[in-house]
Amino acid sequence: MKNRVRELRLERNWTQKELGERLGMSRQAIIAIEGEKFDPSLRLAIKLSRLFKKRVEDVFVADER
Amino acid sequence: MAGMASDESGSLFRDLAVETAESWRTMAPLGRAILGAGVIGVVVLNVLERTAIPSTLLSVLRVLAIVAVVIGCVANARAADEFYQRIYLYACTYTLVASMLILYALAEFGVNLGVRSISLVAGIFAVSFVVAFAVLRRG
Repeated sequence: MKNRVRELRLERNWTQKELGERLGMSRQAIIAIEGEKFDPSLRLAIKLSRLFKKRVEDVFVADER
Repeated sequence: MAGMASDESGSLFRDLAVETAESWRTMAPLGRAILGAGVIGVVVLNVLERTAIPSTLLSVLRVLAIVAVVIGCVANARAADEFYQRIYLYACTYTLVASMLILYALAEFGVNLGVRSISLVAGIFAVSFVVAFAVLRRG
């Protein structure tokens, strides 16, 4: 699933470690989400979106199949 | 500043070590105690000769040590974030498939590993964990 996590994080000048700490996640989880290798759970996706003050669909874009 | 925020990638094994240490830190003390005791127990009890301790007692202790390691690993997985839990899931899947095929093939060719098959499965799990970490981290 495509996402804008990296873009939104950089807009706020947060490091991956900082973002991970704000979410209670590891830095590796952030790397994997930004690299679109790991799709977060719905719970985490909502948490991420709230942290960025965005709607979930503004952060994550589902692939059309 | 944005350049600083764009960071951040370390080597595979360094990152794995950092995250493993972090997952150890976030475990409940009881889970840490069980896992630690299990690992120490497995190492020590497998070094001991059967003559040093009555055979049945040694077998019971070895089984208990393995049980402690398994319980400790489950506690570690439960304490981890969902990314790390996914790594556990991938590693378990790789291990199931690989160990089933390898053990079956060995048995078909008349090689019976006996209790050493546990070491083989544990070794496959360790390799699988590193591979799953690498795959999920960067693809």
